[in-house]
Amino acid sequence: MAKSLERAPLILAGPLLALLGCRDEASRIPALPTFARQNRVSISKFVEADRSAREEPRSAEAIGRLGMLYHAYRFLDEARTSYRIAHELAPDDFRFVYYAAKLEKTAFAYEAAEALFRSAIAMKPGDAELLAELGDLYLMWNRREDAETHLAKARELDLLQPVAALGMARLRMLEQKWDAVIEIVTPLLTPYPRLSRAHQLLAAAYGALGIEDKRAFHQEAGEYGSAVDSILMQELNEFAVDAILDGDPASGRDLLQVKCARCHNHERIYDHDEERIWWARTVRRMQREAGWDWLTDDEAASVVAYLTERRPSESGR
Amino acid sequence: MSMALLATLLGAGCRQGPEGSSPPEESAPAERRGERVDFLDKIPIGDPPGEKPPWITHVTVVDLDGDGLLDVLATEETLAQIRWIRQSPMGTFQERQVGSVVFAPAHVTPADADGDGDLDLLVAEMGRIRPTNDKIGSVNLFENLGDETFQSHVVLENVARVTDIEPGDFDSDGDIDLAVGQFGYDDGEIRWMESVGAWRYESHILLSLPGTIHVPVADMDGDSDLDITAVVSQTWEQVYVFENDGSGVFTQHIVYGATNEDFGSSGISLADLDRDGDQDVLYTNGDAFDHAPPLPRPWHGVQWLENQGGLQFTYHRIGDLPGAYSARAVDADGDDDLDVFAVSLFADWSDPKAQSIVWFENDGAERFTRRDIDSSPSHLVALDTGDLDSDGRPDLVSGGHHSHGPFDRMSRITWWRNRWNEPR
Repeated sequence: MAKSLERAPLILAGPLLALLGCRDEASRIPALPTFARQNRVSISKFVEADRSAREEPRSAEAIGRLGMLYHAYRFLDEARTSYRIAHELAPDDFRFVYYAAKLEKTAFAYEAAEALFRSAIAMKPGDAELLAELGDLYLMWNRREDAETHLAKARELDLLQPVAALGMARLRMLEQKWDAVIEIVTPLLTPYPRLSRAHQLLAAAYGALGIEDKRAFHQEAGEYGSAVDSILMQELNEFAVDAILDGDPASGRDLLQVKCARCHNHERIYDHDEERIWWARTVRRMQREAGWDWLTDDEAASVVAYLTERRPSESGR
Repeated sequence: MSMALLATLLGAGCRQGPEGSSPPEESAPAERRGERVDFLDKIPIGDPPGEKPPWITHVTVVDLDGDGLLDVLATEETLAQIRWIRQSPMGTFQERQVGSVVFAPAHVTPADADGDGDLDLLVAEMGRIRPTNDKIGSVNLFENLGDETFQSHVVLENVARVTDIEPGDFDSDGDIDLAVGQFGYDDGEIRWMESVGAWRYESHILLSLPGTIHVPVADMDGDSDLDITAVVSQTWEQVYVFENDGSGVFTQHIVYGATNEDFGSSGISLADLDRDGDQDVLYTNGDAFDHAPPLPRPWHGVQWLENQGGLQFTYHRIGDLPGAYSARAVDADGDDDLDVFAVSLFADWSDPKAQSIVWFENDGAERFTRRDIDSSPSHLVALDTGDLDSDGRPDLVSGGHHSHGPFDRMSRITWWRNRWNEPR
């Protein structure tokens, strides 16, 4: 009995210490921010993801997903912190390092992004997308030789990696090596027939070579095509999509004129007859670039509703 | 690896991207910053801002009426007009419309297009500032009738949005042809228009890419004929020289291209910056029209392409300037070298110290020291130089473009009177 009592503090101390440890780890998880521009559906996502992360403070998956949610909604500081904790908990999982690198690239923190991409590549050396993204970072940074090296490595692994092919084609274009541009870009159109940038590069190349019919064809095809978005970034985008599927279309048309038409021409907006989910994904992708100060959840939902529900003849003019 | 990575993850976001992002292979020394020198008086001229925020797109200093006093021409989008801010008598400015209505005028160039000895106006009409593929651009020539009135001749219309028109006799036949830049949207062009008499022209397409902003004309290769230099933005981010063989046959050369598709090319002008007898290219990148919100990028700034002869150009960074536009070279401080002035349209205007106009002082060897001039008015898009008060010191004239907020420091036309070495 006495012996048992003597041991009692030790027996109690184990769970207590574990609990304290968890509490300590949970306290590192960023506090929920103020949600001024998010709607009810979005906020409930954050509350749920935050609760899961605090209940499982040693789960890299739970905290990483919280980071992805913050990243998808452009809460950059909270995303950074979450990715850091997730990486500590799962140091061999390249995803959170990759997402952190993409985040820093978006924030123009190039040196940080470079270090993170290099770390992700060290963890997953055979990944063409990672090499291509680092090469693309060097293009933005105007570091041509580094860009060339990494884009070439990416293309050795996957000749049709779109970021790598488009980046390499840009380098050849700047050297006015138009045949090389055509050779690099043309095969991309098999897996990505609507890739705008590919068509634009081909239009430039054929134009420079004086091949007018092909120039005109690719110019037109390049006007209303699609952009490159990796599977990982699509996954991140999906976190935010369903919150804007149910909006009021009434103010959507005016919002389009004020917000969207600043950067996009009329046809690029109106010449699509797409499903609601397609518009939601597209608007969310734009919102991740521009931020919620530019377009709130409710505004985004209105735009999606208007674009989905407008009559086919309604051009907005 | 993990500790280093954690340090990066911890530190990320505290560090900024490379200020100016001077590329290693085109490296420039660290930007020099100097103290502000107070030598410019800021004087609004012409009409004050009206009910709508002003959208000036271009200003040029010229003696339009030949009275010996410099005037200012401005293109004003909100009024759909070319505005003449006439100086008469010296120091007194009166503003009025010239010519007919022009939708979204982007640029006005004075030139004697018909060879009758007075200055006509070459007006680049976009049709609309906002992005569109609609064929609504025009080449609009305002013929000076000699009595301070102008007659419009639309010599090209229903084309991709026109952003610049510059004069030159490209085929050496003694009359004035036109170089025309068309920004368009997905489908811009560069063309030269051969004068065939009586306000008629024949077009020759030089390039079919969108994004052309300026097409200045000069002999770039020293062969005594006129070449066309062009800046093509819209993700291409390139500077071209179209080399003329003297008969209007042009060969295309890309003389600079940024690897960054988001470089934000915002304009070029020509000047012999290093005084070696050839024309160099002054080049700004500060465009954020296609960003929402329209905020600057860390790589925005001013650079020059040194003409090395043989259509070879070397890139030199002059300095950083968020939202940079409209660099001009002029000897403002009388030390016999060319300084560079530039304005900013897309600074972070929430920062009251964000500069809208800066001076890059040349030390005589093309090493530049950036000196602030002013943070107000904000949103400056256009700049030109000229000695408005005939005191021997070149002045500056700026134009404000307030298509986005904040709207607390608005201007239309501002004369920055130079009083270098003048006792206060």
